Amino acid sequence: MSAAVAVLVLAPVGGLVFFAAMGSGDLWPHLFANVLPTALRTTLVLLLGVGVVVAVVGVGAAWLVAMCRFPGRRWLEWALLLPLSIPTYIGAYAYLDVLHPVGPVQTGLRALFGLTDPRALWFPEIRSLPGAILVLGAVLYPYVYLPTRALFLMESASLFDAARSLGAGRWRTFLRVALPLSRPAVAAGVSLALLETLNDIGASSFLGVNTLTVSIYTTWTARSSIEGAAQIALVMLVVASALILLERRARHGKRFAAGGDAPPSARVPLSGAAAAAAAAFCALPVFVGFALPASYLLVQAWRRVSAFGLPVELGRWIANTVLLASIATGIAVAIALVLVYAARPLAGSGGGWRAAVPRIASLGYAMPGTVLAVGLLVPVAALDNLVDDAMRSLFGLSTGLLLSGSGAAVIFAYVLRFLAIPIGTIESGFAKIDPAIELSGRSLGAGAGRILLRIHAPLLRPAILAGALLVFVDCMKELPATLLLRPFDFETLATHIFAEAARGTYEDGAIAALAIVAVSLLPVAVVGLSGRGERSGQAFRARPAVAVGPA
Amino acid sequence: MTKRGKSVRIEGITKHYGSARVLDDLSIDIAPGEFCTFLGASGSGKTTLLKVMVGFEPFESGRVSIDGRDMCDVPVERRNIGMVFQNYALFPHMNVGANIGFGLEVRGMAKAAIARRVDDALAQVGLAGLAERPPAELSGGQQQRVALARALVIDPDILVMDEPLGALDKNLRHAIQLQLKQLHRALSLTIVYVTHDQDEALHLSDRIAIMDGGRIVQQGTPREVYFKPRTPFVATFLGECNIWNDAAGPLALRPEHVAVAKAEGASGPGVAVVEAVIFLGGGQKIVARDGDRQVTAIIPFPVGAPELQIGERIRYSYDDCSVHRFD
Amino acid sequence: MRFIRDWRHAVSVLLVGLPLAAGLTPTGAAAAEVNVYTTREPGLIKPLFEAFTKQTGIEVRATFVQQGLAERVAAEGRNSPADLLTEADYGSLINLAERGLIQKIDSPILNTAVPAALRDPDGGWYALSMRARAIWVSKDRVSDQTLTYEGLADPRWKGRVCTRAGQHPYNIGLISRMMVKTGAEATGKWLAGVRANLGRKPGGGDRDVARDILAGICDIGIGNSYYVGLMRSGKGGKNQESWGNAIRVILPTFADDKGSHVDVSGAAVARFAPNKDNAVKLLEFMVGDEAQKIYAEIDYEYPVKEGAKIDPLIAALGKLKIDPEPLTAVAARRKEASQLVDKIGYDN
Repeated sequence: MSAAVAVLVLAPVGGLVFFAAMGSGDLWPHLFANVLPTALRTTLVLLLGVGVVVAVVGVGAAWLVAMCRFPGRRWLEWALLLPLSIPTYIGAYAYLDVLHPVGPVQTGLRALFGLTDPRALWFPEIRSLPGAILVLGAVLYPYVYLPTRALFLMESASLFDAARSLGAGRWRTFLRVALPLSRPAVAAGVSLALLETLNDIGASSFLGVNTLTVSIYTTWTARSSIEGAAQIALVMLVVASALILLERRARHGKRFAAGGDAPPSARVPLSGAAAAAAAAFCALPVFVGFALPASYLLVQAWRRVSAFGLPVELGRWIANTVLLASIATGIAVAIALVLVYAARPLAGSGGGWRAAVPRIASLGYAMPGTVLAVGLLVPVAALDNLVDDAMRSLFGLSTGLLLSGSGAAVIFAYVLRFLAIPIGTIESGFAKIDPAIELSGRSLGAGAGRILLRIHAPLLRPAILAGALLVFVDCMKELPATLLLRPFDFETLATHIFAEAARGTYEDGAIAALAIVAVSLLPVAVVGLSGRGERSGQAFRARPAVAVGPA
Repeated sequence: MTKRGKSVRIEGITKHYGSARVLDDLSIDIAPGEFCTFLGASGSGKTTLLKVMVGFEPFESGRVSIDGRDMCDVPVERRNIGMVFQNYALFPHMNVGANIGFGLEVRGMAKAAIARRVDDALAQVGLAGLAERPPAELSGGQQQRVALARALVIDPDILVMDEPLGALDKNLRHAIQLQLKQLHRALSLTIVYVTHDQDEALHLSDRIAIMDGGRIVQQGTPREVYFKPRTPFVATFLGECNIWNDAAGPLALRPEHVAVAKAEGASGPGVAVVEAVIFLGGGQKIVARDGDRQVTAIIPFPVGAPELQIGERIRYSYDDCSVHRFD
Repeated sequence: MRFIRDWRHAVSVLLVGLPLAAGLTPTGAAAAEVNVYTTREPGLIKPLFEAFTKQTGIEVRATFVQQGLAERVAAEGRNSPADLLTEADYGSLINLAERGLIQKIDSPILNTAVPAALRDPDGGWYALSMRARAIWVSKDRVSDQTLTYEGLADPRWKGRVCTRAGQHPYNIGLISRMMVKTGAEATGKWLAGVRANLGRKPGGGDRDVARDILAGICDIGIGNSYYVGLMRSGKGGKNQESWGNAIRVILPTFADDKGSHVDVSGAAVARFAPNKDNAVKLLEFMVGDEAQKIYAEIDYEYPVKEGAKIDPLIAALGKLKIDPEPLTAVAARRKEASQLVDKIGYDN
């Protein structure tokens, strides 16, 4: 099973190698001279900027809601997760429209100042690198917020108490104790957010930011060289894997199992200006990352509905989207469970190479969706044709394209792309389970399968749930692989939005976009509520430690 | 470190978690330099009381004063209370020296002075030379002593300890108890100690406050609470105790005050049938039954005589002076 | 036949192991269907298919693939379910032909309806509709009535030009044609001049150009003709109508005054089309009067068929003069044009 998964995960890499090998590399001098330096610089600045934004917002908000008491805290603690439901491309489009000189914000400001000429008011341009950093940071910070908050709530509470009893105030406790302690969680969260940024194509191209991924794309489309695109993609994959490996190394041995089970103390009450500042600090990301884009979609969708009614196919798009996402989620979680289970130290002999499989399986997360989809085309179609040939020679009947014709290819792509998420949550869940529990199960005569089903699965339920919900939301939002691999005449919410966007009729996509947000909100709410009240909910160990290479 | 610890006064503290009352109008005075232990089962409210005292937990009514000063507006970090946590709560990202020096650094002490004080503190707890080690490389007992040194080095007005020895094995526990006793005497510290281990409480404390249901059900010297329990609960919580009813009402009798003699064939009052004989090392515990009365006695090994067997009849007796009647 | 279909369903369920058979059936040859892979946005092309089904009873199953259409068809190989491939620009059509993914057809209907310049000389692909790459200027702030593409590099437009990304196929097409006309060096100078005039970073879509002109970010830009119809018709909502009305559309020529840069959408029959006959029928339908009318009315494109009616909103833009350089010659310069965009750093 582990070996099979490793092979499957490497399939799209094989596809890329196939494309790359067809090329001669004659494009490289041109790319080196004219494309890559700028793309690389843009990408690095974007990554740096998004990294800083998500770290500051994610850690700051996590600290405030976990450790302090201020008006609106309980509400914000949950609301801070909401931006997870906003796909980056939708966020980018909403901001472009809202902040445009003829959009509501600038129009309002001009009215306020009595200006009539749109050029009279200076306003920062959203179609820029800083604009992209803002938009991506605003929707991606929950990747940092989620694990960091969990760490603050569960692992380190008594350490903060200790620091305070030694005389350290709030700031010093934060800077000297909380910040260094949260490093593994922050590193994991930031690396996820950065991989999302690296893989993003919708928001970047909307906002005119030419990242490496955009270059891969244009090398394929405009420079008419899929070989060159595959070559850049492979190089980028190596770089991304190296980054992940580095992050993993940096974290190695930094898993502080301190804190134990002592219940954390009551939150520090804030008052006056401090309370207002804390509330503002936590409310702002919710507003920027969720409230504004969501209400924008609401207004657009409402206009659309009142003018033309609901699209007749909306129900089918939702059903298709949910169907694909659910199946992919189920498979991803099951595979993750088995892989992590097989890789655990107690698995005994052979655990050595199996321990590496979850890392390899997480590779898909480091690949841009477009790249993964193109890479998958070749092996999937080859398999399809192989089956067809076999059936023809055996029975004289053609099966056609089973995988790519049935939606299985899309599901396959989703699973590969997002497997890292349940692997991460389940791994961290496993780390919390006393190995003695398994030993006691074995001593009572239970086999490995029974132990997994009867003991670990129930104990891991919060971790599994968190992983499942996050995969589900990510599948709902996924675009490039869906677009390329879906079967005939089959639309999901995301492909519909993209089709409308490609045509320029963005407003027509608003209803579908709102549907994505609405459907995503359900699982986000479940994740949020499951951690509410109980300050030691395991569900909040949630976000994955994506990692490639040796653990 | 020659200053004397300060007094703590708790007045009428009431606190709820949701609808559950965890502290119920609780008051106690702790004198300067006193070693006061809160003893209770889990859920009795003792740790919550500690957190209220230190300032981690808000409460609905009542008052905490240290050295006569109301702590209402004084945040934890300015109370100068040294605290040793149940799990030690050593900062895993700092080495031992940095852990111990943290409180001094907060107080703005110069680096060289901190280093000196850290070395002194390490020597004091018998860990000289370990300053560079990360906490994870220390044994449980060593971690415990680092936590103690960290709390002591800030020269606290009060030292608060929350089940600090719970995770250690018995011998280590005894060794550290002894060390703690000596430190307490040498430094004239006010120590507030929380434990569920009655032996530990009896060994260490100047005063024990026994807690149940968010209240102090009895307080006094170890001797008082052991020999003059006010309720059957206290009597049984603090060591083993026979609780019987006679004509005058309930009475408490410590097992070591019960004498036992073989009584083959006898019957009637004062005769019981042995149900269990338990080897204690220094003696043996006999559990026997006399009608609906369970008799527990701790007696020395009989020299030269055959040992008691299960099912054997015994006659038990006690001195009336050892009988304790509840108020 | 029916038995075979059912049997194959059963196998597919067994093999795929997923409960998908009901919703997502594997595709294959059936009596009355035709499968289309399209990079043409479904909203633009769907009304055509509906009309075709109504007329012939043949069901059209279309999949919108934005990029990777050629790669997908190539990977699927002999088993590809695709019958008809439609593309939004001639570069992609030529690419399909070069990669051997389409087959020649010999249809008198197509050959009569589509002018020779607008179809594959080898009988592979056929253009179905046209659009002009127009220059849009601010109604209020620009008074010029005629302009050339070369004029976009005129320093008088400094800080006043908006375009979408240089690497977008629409712009690559225009730059390629400029190369055919003026050579690589002159085109490089021209493009650098346009870049120097930009009022904002290239990006977004053509309609963003109109919106930015309304907002005063730019005074002049490049956009496809059909977007003008889409905006001004109000089909995209009130906002877009106001964008469309902020601009005046000029159908420019090159300096040689021969005509506007025109790109085509087109289609070809896939090499392994399982329903080849239906594909040809659909293709023939698409150049018929009814379909050409739909192209004009719904999509605001120029019909390829001689004499077909143009939508009034588009007709109002003026008479379209088509630049005569052959599409194949223009397509041959695409890669070079793309590299030029990189060299100039147009999108940076």
